[in-house]
Amino acid sequence: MLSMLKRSGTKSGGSTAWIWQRITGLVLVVTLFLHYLFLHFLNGGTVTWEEVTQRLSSPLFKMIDLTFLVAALFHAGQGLVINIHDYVHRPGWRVTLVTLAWLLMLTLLITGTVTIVTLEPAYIDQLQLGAAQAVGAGGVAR
Amino acid sequence: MGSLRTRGFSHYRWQTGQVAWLLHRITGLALVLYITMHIWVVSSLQLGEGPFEATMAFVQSPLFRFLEVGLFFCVIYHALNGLRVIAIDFLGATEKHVPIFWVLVVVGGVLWVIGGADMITHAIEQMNHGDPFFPSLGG
Ligand code: HEM
Repeated sequence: MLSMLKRSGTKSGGSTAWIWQRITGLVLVVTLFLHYLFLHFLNGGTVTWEEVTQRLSSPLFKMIDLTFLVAALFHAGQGLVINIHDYVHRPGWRVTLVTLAWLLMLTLLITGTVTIVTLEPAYIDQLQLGAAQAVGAGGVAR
Repeated sequence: MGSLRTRGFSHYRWQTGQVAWLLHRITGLALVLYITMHIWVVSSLQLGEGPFEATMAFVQSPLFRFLEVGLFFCVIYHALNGLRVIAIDFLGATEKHVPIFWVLVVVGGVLWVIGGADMITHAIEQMNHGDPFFPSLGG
């Protein structure tokens, strides 16, 4: 694991990052454009619960948002690594910061994926129904 | 900056590319900071309608709409300059990279003014309806 991170600073690791930074960049132009279109300019400028849950009940939008999430976080993580390699020269610090950068991206990937995937109106109805039943039963569990 | 001439590069060409690169780096890092906060804020969707709407009332207040104009600048600059970098790398646009930069400045400027005006109009409308400029959580 550590040797893998160190190797990412070598020439071969660098050119893989280079091409992926361009591929994800192109994917982001499309997904970011759609994101702005739907969340800022086609909805009158105000994001509501109603609108978001409606849109995310469509598998197509879930796929678009997941693509956006993965491309953005991969691109962001590589962007951070590029900067760490440019400004941090002590090997120990480099490995530490690169690891932290990817851990942050992983955390965001999990958070974002859970948000996108679990946001199902039917599922939320169920949760609220469950809560209502718990209250109806006088707070006694089950 | 005096050392630029001694390197034998065309003074202006080098300068445009250098400024373009620095801005690309700064806007890229700003976007990473933003996306971190953004994913965290939007995850409040999991808490249900009430908490989500409360969070959104905070981040869609006039103050944040003005900040969003700055974010929109970072997005437009980074996206268009990123495309320019890709064009230089893959389409052999190296010779024309300076004129391309200035064309994109105009295109980006127009997009920024149109989108930014939309965001500021919203902020002003909200304030006309009595919304405070600074948001308060749970208010
Ligand atoms: C909108 C579409 C985007 C395009 C076309 C794009 C394009 C690019 C390209 C081509 C590079 C490499 C530059 C180079 O090698 O000199 C780059 C770097 C970078 N991008 Fe993006 N990008 C986009 C969106 C984003 C987003 C959404 C983020 C943040 C989450 C981001 C963060 C970064 C960072 C941090 C770097 C490293 C810059 C450096 O310090 O050299 N980019 N981008």
